[in-house]
Amino acid sequence: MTREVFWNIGARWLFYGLSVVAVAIFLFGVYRVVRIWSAAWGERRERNVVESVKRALIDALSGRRIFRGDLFGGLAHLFIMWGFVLLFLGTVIFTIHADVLKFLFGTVYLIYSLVLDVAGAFFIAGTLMAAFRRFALRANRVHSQWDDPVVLALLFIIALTGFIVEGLRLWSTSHIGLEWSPVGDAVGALMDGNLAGSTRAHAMIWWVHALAALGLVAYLPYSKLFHMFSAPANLYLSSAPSGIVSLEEREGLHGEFDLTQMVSFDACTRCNRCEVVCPAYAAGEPLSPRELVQSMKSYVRRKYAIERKYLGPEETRTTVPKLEEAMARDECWYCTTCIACAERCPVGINPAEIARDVRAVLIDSGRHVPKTIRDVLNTVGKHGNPWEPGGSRHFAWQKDLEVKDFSKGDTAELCYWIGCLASDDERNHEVAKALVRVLNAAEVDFAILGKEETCCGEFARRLGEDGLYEALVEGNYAVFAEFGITNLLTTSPHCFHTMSREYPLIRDKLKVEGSPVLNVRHHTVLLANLLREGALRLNGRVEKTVAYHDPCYLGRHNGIYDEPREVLRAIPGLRLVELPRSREGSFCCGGGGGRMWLESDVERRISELRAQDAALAKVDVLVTACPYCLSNLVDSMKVAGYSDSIEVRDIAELVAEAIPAETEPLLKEA
Amino acid sequence: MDIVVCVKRVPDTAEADLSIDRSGKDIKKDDLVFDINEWDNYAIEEAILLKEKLGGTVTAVTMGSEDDEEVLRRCLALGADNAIRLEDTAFVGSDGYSTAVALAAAIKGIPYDLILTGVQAGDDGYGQVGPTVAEILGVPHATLVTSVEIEGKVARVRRELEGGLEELVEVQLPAVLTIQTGINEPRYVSIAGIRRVARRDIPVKTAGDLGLKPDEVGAAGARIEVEGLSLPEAGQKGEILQGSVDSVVEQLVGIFASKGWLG
Repeated sequence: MTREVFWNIGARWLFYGLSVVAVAIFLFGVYRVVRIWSAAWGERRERNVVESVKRALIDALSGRRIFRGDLFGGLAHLFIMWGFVLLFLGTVIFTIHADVLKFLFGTVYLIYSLVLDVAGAFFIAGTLMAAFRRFALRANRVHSQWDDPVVLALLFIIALTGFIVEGLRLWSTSHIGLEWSPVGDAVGALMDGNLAGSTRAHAMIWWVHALAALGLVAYLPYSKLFHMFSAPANLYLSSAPSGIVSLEEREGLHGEFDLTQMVSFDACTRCNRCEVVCPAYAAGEPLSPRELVQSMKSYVRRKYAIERKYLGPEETRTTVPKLEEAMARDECWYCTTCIACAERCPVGINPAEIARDVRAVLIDSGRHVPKTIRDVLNTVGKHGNPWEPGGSRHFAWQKDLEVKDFSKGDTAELCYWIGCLASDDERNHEVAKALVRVLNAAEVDFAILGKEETCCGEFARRLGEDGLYEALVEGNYAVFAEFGITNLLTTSPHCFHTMSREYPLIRDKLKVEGSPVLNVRHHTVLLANLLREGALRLNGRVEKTVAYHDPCYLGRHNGIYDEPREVLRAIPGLRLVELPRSREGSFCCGGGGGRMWLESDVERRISELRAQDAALAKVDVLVTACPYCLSNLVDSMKVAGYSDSIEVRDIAELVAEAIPAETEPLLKEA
Repeated sequence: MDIVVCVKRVPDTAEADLSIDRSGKDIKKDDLVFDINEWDNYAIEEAILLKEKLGGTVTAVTMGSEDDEEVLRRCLALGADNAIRLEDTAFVGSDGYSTAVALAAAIKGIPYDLILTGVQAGDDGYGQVGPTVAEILGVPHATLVTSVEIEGKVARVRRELEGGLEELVEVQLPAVLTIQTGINEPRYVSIAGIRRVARRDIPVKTAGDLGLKPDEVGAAGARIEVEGLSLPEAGQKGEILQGSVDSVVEQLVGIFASKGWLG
């Protein structure tokens, strides 16, 4: 039992000739893309190759990331992907059988037939589902381009003609073993009415099938289908966390993007999942992560593609495009770096990091940097904090705290890093005061840095001002070394993120003498620990319904979801409910990524959208654990008209409320 | 088009708490933060924009100590080709006039088609250096410039007049223009950009190098002597009237009446 190679087909030399042409076009297309990738400045990730390969394979072969928020799309993709893989392998196997070693006989052939038959059926179903999803459901508000229907139609035609050819062949040659090709058999049965002409019809459709398949091979690296290579490559590359390249290392390396980013531009299939979850886009701001990635893709193409050198009109050969012109307006500055997009991206692209690196290029050229961003960076550069000349006035309110101060010669186990926003914003002063009450009640030995505290540098890094970031990190390490500080406590997830995740990446490169290895904790984690250890007892009741708003830099960036909830559940009387958008799906307040300082003229603010979430959940208090979130959400509750019904509070304030006054022997009221 | 830009490093006094030093003739500067004079920042940006459009060179000049070199580095990072610093004990105590004498002597030695300065400096606010340099060099000048267009050997410039009026004048080159804020959008100068020019050599010229005698410059050559500084008296706090328009008007009339201003 086997099948005759090239049954009923003449002019085989033509088929082989066309195959060679198709493969040549394919290889040129791959070369063209890889050549663009080689314009990357390098790589900033260190990886465990085995781990990365494992994660990339699991993600790619299961397609599990595609299922996030899109079950139907996930299934359609799974059918098409596995149908394609199996049919492709089937073709390869049959080519070996035909041209190298004949081995498809008997049972092996029957199983081979069955697998391909079923795979083909799922493949066709997948393409139909995908077409329905794209054009009828318009899932994820997907934007279709001309090549989207072309690709789908091509896949569909290949599969359909494959079955027709199979059916005609089966019904014209032998009727044995038809049950092993159920779909082909059924198609053959449909055609049986006109078997007389079937050999001619078979030959014609065979050529349609062959030309479509060869066309697909040739077209593949020029189409979004190239993601079958670039997506697994990107999943592999992006599986390791980003490192930090110091300015010294970066100097002399040409190119705007690292290898992961260059590959990611080609891995993007414009599926639009990122745009759907982007807070800036939702608020009507001029940013769509999909557009950003796509515009950067076309930018690197225009700049580095082979045709720029050899083909095309004079203009494309001579004009080097400018990055700022490749972007739609000022879009990169609108990114809050909340990474909701990266969380959703099926192929592991991080548009927030791309936006950051675009900003770094613009910062370096100095042009196209919005005024408010220039101003805040200049202020931080001059004064060490994002507010106007700070000095004594900046930290005046700390007098009320009655706490130890390293800068005044005190010593302590733990350094409470207050943070710029908490130091300047009056609403955030209340959080610091509340936390001091709680720390005193739990008898934690801590001190602040007082006038020695400057900006942690987090938003300078997010804004792409890497020189300023390095200068601030150097300064801070010098201060930590001077006062022998290794344990830090922050209320800002932004300070926490950069000091715990990013400082270690650059510490050895900056070579500050005596710079300590830091142990940084966010206050929600410390509070959870104090409660677990019994050092902190909450006896007061807080009879309120609250929802917890996950700050992006605590949740998505650092995976801290449970500790804040654990602390809230420990407060007697408090009822914790979940917002519809929470944990990994939390919706940004709009303050991250330097956005706190970008003046936006859009009418609706990101934080107002979040205020509505809280209003719909009918809570008394929206709790957060980030000074940006607090400041933004307090404002937006006022603007949206909910400030009478919903309070916005930091978790530390609710904990402080649950500590009755008599349990605070150390507290002196200001 | 060869352009010379005169720049100055000044303390940032906008939000600072100022106090007079022991001499009584200057403010305490120990806790103040210094930066390029705001007007000069627009002047250097305008010079770079002109260079980008027309080619040529940009040279930044300042008079001051080693600390003041940072504003020249800033100019180099922005795209200036050369920088010169004038330093001599004889320059100490300069006023607008003797500063202009030193700057003019330095500029005389380099080829120039255009000299740009800020309209004034944020610290002493004399606004004299630009026009005085022009007089000493014997070239025309235009002050309060809000736009510059170069056509051959002529600069067509807009000058800001009072009451929102603008004047369009043609100035023969070479000329001195004093640049008003807002003429352009000064680009951001990154720390990395400044680091890149950190090792560039910046020549220092003394009075002797410029062929100036010690009594021509500094305090000796100055035409203004500061006798003393004082902080302005804090005015009385304003009163904010509240209520409806009618009641506010009524209160206001009452206040006028009580002061005897209503005749």
